[in-house]
Amino acid sequence: MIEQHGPVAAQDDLRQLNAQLQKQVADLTQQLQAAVKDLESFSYSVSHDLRAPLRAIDNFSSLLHKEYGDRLDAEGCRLIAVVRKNAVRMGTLIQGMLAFAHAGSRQLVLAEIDLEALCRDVLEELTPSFAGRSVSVQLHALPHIRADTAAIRKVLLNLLANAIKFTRPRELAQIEIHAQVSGNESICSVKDNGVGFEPEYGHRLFGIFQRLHDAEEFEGTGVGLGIVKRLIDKHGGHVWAEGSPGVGATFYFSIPSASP
Amino acid sequence: MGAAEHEVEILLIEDSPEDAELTIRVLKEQNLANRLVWLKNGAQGLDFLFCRGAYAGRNVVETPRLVLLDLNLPRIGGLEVLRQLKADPRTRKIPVVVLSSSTQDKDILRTYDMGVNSYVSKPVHFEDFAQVVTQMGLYWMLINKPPNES
Repeated sequence: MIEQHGPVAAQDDLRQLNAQLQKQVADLTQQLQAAVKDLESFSYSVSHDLRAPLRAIDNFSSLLHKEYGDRLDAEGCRLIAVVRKNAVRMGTLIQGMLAFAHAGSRQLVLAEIDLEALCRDVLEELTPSFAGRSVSVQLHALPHIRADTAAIRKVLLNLLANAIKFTRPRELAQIEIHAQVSGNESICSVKDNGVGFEPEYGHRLFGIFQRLHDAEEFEGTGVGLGIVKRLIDKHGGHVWAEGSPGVGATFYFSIPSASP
Repeated sequence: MGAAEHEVEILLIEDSPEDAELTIRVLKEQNLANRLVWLKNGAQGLDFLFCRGAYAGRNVVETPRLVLLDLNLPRIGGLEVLRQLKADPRTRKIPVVVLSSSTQDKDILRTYDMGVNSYVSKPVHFEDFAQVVTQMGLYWMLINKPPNES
């Protein structure tokens, strides 16, 4: 009796446990779907609801300057200029937030990418941004990887734009792009001889809206590396950086060889 | 041109008084706002277009030459106004330009599915806004040739 009863009861328990688990998974999935929906409507509200009042601030302060500027003294004009400058800055921040949300919500389409050709393409696009400067870019032989082309293009664009930006004080900016296949992942790096960063703040680099330099010194919103991390995370890869102040920085990203 | 046939040349349906003021100001600078009517929600817009309620005295065939439509409107939204306007043969031919803060692909797609004639995203900054509204106004009022005028 006992030998017969045991397995049957155990089977019942298992069935019950299984049903419970399935219900839990279904509940969690529903919660997750609700959270994603909330986030989507949040990003919509950012794009619409915040931009409308900002447009009023920017436009009406500009009109004030345009139509009453000649009746204001220097201090009055300066005060309006502060309002306008910050309206522009807020517009850039909202734009950055939307770009970040967009980077997370897009579905990846994996394809074989010629990393070297993509790098050349991105560099060509960036050429106007360092016109008049001495910039040497060394492009080592790069492998083909399997990833989303638009995402990797954005990653390279942000990393190279950073390298170009933070080498601005250098007489000769030197940028090196490396990549190697190691084990079951490809690791790509962008190295520069720019202003670098304090290693103890390195963990903050990839956070959204985090900046390690003064806005007066280097422009930017602190969204670029946040987008890089988000796009690489989605591929199942990693991002990290090494740097020392005054010497330069190297940014790495890895992409798994087998699709995640 | 048959402009004289149009009692109202531009119908602006926009709930934000600031956006409406800016739009009208820019159109005025181009002399395009002489016969512009501004309504603040979709219900008023539909009443005007279909000559109901406060606009019962209007003749439905006297259509505006251009409708400028915001999407995020109280009560009846811009999409519904667009849908009804494009569903009725008497109002279907009126060019409708959506002026919206949204740059979301799904909003843009939906309006085109409903037959919008143009979708313009309202720029945040002053110079861009003035330029976009000027170009849009000049194009639809002076360059574009509507079907009912010879």
